[in-house]
Amino acid sequence: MTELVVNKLGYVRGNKQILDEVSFSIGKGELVVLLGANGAGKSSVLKCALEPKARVKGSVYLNGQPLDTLSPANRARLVAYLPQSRPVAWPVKVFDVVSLGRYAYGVRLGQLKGRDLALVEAAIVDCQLQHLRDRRIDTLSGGEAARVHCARAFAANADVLLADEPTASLDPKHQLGIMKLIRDYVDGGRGALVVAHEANLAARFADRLIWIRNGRIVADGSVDETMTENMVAEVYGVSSEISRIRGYHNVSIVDAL
Amino acid sequence: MRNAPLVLGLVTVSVTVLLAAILLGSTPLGLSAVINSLTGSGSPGDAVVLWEIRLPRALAAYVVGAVLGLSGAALQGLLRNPLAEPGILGVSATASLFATFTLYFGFSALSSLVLPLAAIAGALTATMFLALVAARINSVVTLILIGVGLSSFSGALMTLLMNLAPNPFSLSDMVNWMMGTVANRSFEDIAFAMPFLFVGAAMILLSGRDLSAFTLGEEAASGIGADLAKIRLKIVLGTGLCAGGAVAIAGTVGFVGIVAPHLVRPHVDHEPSATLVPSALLGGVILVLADIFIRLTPTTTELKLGVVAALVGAPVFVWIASQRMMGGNSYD
Repeated sequence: MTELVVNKLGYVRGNKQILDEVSFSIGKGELVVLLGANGAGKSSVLKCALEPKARVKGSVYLNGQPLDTLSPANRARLVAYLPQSRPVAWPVKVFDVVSLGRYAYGVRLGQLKGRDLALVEAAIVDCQLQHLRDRRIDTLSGGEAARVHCARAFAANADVLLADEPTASLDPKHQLGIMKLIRDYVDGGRGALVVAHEANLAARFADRLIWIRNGRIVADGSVDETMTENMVAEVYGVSSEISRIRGYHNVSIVDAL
Repeated sequence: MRNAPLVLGLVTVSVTVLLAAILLGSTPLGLSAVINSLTGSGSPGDAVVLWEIRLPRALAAYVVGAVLGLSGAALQGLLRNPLAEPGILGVSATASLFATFTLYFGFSALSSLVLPLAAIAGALTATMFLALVAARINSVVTLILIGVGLSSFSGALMTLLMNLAPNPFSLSDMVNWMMGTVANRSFEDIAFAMPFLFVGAAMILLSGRDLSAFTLGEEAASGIGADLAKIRLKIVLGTGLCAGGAVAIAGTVGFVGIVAPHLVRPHVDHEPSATLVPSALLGGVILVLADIFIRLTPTTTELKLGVVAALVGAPVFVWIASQRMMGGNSYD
């Protein structure tokens, strides 16, 4: 069964066409990684999929229902969003940040109960944050903070997760950790679209890759089908050699083209 | 509720300082005289001092402090910056400007409603302007600078009106307004502003949950289901009504909206919705204490509340701003 269907997204900023006829779908239990160079339009895909006002054309459906007609809260119950920039304005506690994932269900911080509380607790356990739950967010390391934001997104218990570079500026171990968390979340019966820079990380965790260049999708398929040296050259503008390490595709960059 | 103990404590302190404000003053009024007057069995002279002078004055200071504390906490939550406040953002100055305008042209003499209504209209104009600007720029720091500019401009226009004042009486009226005071306020003055303050405070208090969502930044707040435009409008109207009502009662009194939430925040885990009620209570306490200080200070001309608030508040503002710089600026 298909869950999220994105249809012909178009987005223009100034005179520049940022997205052009971007169409794809994400099914249940599917982790799709969106790959592309800086400025290719990856983040815009997520923003325009979520926010009708952000795009100039296109439509988005979830389980056959148009997403645009939903109120922000109803949309948030179906699609969780983890933006690239994650500034926390006040030094609030980890538990409160994760609890905000239940905002769309009308929760008030400090007064969670029932299913809301259970889902927040479950997200905290899933993201291994038990020992940090009462810590102030400003005292965490980058890797810990990234897990908190994942937990916040997971707590919404939405059908689909849209995550914009959840592994940005993390070391390799934490990158693997975050991708594993998202993989487990998807394996629990949801879909996810994850924006990433790292092709190797994508190859390891994704069911499908969407390659985007100058606002257009150039390929959409499995890792085996699409992760080729030609694709890497077209999308990133670098020559590369692709080998297999323990069964996973591994891109070694040779030089800029 | 995590702020319950703090709220309870601040309610107790509020009652205590209000009582102190009634007991203290140039005419000695003992506890028994106060109780007698409150119950209507005291001497007529004591009753006048209590009902027409001290109680309205203390309540005016408390109400003004409370709505300014609440507005400050709400604007800080919305803009995610501890330096946001009706005074800093030019809301109070624009409210005062509109009020001064009615004084200058003598409209205020037409009806006692004109001046307070003008103050509220001024506050709403300023908050609407800020909301329009906020929708176009992404930097909160820039928005605050624009607010500071608005404040200076309204201040300049006010000085211009004073400069052109036709006679010393209207000049002194305007100066009094600009300096901010709760002296000689009657219950009617407070009662007139109350509906506006009530609606404004309700709009803010009902948005507590939304302010918590704004902690994550606007993009993530929208992602978790917050209706950004609606929330902005609610807070802007709420703070406009509160700040306008406060100016209608007392003229310009600044900095309470920065100091009160700043003191409250560490005690409620920095959680914006939990900051609202305690900031209101503490704002009220601060202004009542400031007003008691003014009344007991033996100066030949009585000090104005707005002057004392600024003398204390401005250095605190500088201190908070410099703390943020030194703290690595991680919460910009």
